[in-house]
Amino acid sequence: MNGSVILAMVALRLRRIFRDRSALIWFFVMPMVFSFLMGQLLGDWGGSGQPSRPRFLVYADEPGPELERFLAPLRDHERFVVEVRDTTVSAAALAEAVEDSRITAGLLVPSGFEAAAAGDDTASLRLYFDSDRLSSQTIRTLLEEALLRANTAAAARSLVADPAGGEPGRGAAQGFDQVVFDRLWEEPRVRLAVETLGRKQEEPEFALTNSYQHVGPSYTLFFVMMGVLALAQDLVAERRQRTLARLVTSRAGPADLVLGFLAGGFVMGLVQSVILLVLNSLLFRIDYGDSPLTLGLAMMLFAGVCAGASVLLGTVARTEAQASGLGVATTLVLAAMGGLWWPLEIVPPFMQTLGKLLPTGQAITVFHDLIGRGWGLAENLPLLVGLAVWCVVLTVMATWRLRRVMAS
Amino acid sequence: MIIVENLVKRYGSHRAVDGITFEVAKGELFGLLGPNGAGKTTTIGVLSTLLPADGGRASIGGHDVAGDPGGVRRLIGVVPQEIALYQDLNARDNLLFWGRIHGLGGKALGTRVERLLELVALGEHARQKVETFSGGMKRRLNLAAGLIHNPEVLFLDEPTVGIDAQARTKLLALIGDLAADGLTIIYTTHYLEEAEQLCHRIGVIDQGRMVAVGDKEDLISQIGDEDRVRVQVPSERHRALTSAAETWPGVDSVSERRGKLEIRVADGGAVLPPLQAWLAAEGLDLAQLEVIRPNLETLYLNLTGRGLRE
Ligand SMILES: Nc1ncnc2c1ncn2[C@@H]1O[C@H](COP(=O)(O)OP(=O)(O)OP(=O)(O)O)[C@@H](O)[C@H]1O
Ligand SMILES: [Mg+2]
Repeated sequence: MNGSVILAMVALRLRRIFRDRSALIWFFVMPMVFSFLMGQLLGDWGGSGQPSRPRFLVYADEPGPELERFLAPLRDHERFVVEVRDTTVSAAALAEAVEDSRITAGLLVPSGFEAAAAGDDTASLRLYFDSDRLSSQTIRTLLEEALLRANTAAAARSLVADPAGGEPGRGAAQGFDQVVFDRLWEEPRVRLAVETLGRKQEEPEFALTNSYQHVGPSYTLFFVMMGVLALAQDLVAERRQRTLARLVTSRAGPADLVLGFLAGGFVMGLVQSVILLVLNSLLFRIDYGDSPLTLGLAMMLFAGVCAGASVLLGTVARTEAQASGLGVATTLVLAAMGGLWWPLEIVPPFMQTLGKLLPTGQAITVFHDLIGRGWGLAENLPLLVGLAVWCVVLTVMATWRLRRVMAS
Repeated sequence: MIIVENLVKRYGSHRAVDGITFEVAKGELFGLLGPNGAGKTTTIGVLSTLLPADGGRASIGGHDVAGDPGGVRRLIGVVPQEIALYQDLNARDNLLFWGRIHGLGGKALGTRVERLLELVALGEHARQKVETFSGGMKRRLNLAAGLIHNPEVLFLDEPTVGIDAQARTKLLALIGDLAADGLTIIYTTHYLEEAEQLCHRIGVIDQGRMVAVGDKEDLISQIGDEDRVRVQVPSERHRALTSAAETWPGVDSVSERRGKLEIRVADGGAVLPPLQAWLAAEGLDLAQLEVIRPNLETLYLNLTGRGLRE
């Protein structure tokens, strides 16, 4: 591999775009104009402009310090918010709220909890959780840890001698009493009953609070795809004007030339993505979430998909006009079906499934997950794998076609 | 330096190159002469490793074009028939780009570019976009781009197409200089006078076949060095004119050729006065008379039975 050949080809591509005023308008100005207009048009999607985290509702008849201590490890978790209420709720209503994805989990705390945690009584908590949601799973794990801790504390308290003389069975031991401890361990003061619920609704709730959170990334993706696919016209021109022939008969190896063409689109797509995403974040105050790795991977894979498609298109189109027409048509179709114009969340389930098989749908869903749900790499892995598959398939096809075109 | 044996290249069932054989020595300027569609570009395409051959062999500097394309590419420079340049870049940036593609860089590339720009007389237009260039300027830059890496062999595919006489003269002089410096060149053209003027040896190609190869004198000797005077007279007068012409000075033979009489004579000028006199006496028109001196055109006509098309 000859880096300087690839570099020269990439530099050529970037330079021609950055020197062409009308190209710059299409690459950078139009996307921002569209984001602004569509954002204004669609307005707020509810809420404070802060991304909403799923809620964990705790219903306690008598909230007290023991409950606070018990819930402390769950407070301020980045994946969900804990809300404690002292109203009563029926078990059925709580289960339904979880099933409808209005909340990610619910906990019923009976009135004896404070006493039980102090070692004086027993109490049974009831958790309603959704086994398909990560936040719900996290809650369950954390609750189980908290339970162990509370019961151990209760056991320890019971074992320690009460200076005031105390009742039988409580603080009776002068030192460690294995028999008493075993009884306490087998019959813990606080128990947790877990109610596992399936998900009625396949998709998690619509998590965005503000239309810019959608239109910013979606117009970025749209114009990146359109821009990189427009480079297919350059490849057709290179074939027609015979600069491609000149490249092939040069000292640069064929593999470097193929890489040079692919890298041209890839780098252009990345440069455009970074600039547009930064502008969007500054102008429309979009927070892309906590996983720059996921964001970076998604954008690189998306740029790779576009670059592969662009080279492929440049090798099959006969004329520049055809390349341009096919490029725009492809972008429009993929944008509409992949949920760039309107969120996939509002289209029928069948179209949602279809959309998520497309690179546009995969990329925008990653954005929704990052921005709206605060998700990270693990949750987005299937989407990233989908993008990677597209990227590999298109790159392989483009390479195969370009090698053929180069030898004729 | 260049050996071509029985080269065949097909497009579908059409044999664009149909068993061509020739050799070019180091430092030679070899002309490939033929009309549109003769197979010149296709031949260059195979020799420059762009197109795979369907038969025969070719090698450049000992490297087989099919077996060792990389080795061939290290030796050759190609100037395509088209202006293979980036129109929206300026002249210097174009040359810098092609230099980098050939693995050049740094100061050496910078100096090379400046020298080439001077060589093709574009020094003053170095910062001008190619799309604003005249046809001649584009052709010169196209040539420079093929020379950027100092190749040992240069393929020039109709480098003078579409430019005016003055620009053509300049370009031909430039190519002559390159040949004088020892560059091995294959030069394709359908202009006879270019091949005659410029090339050491010429291969005449038609419908994918090499119909003649040799230096200019070789080729002319293939058709003899006599002039031919062709005159059209009504066929019932052929016999009379034949017997008259045979008595004129220097006439070698008189024969019938496609309805015309052809007089072969050492000097065509010498038979014109008696011919005119004979025509006047017979009351016939002068306009139907033509004198053909032996040149590549007549050679071509003889070889292919067709005139060269421009
Ligand atoms: N890519 C192609 N596909 C099919 N036929 C082709 C192709 N390229 C050339 N040909 C045919 O091959 C023959 C030789 O073409 P070629 O371009 O080599 O001729 P040429 O001598 O260079 O002509 P010109 O003076 O017009 O450049 C022509 O009949 C042409 O139509
Ligand atoms: Mg040609």
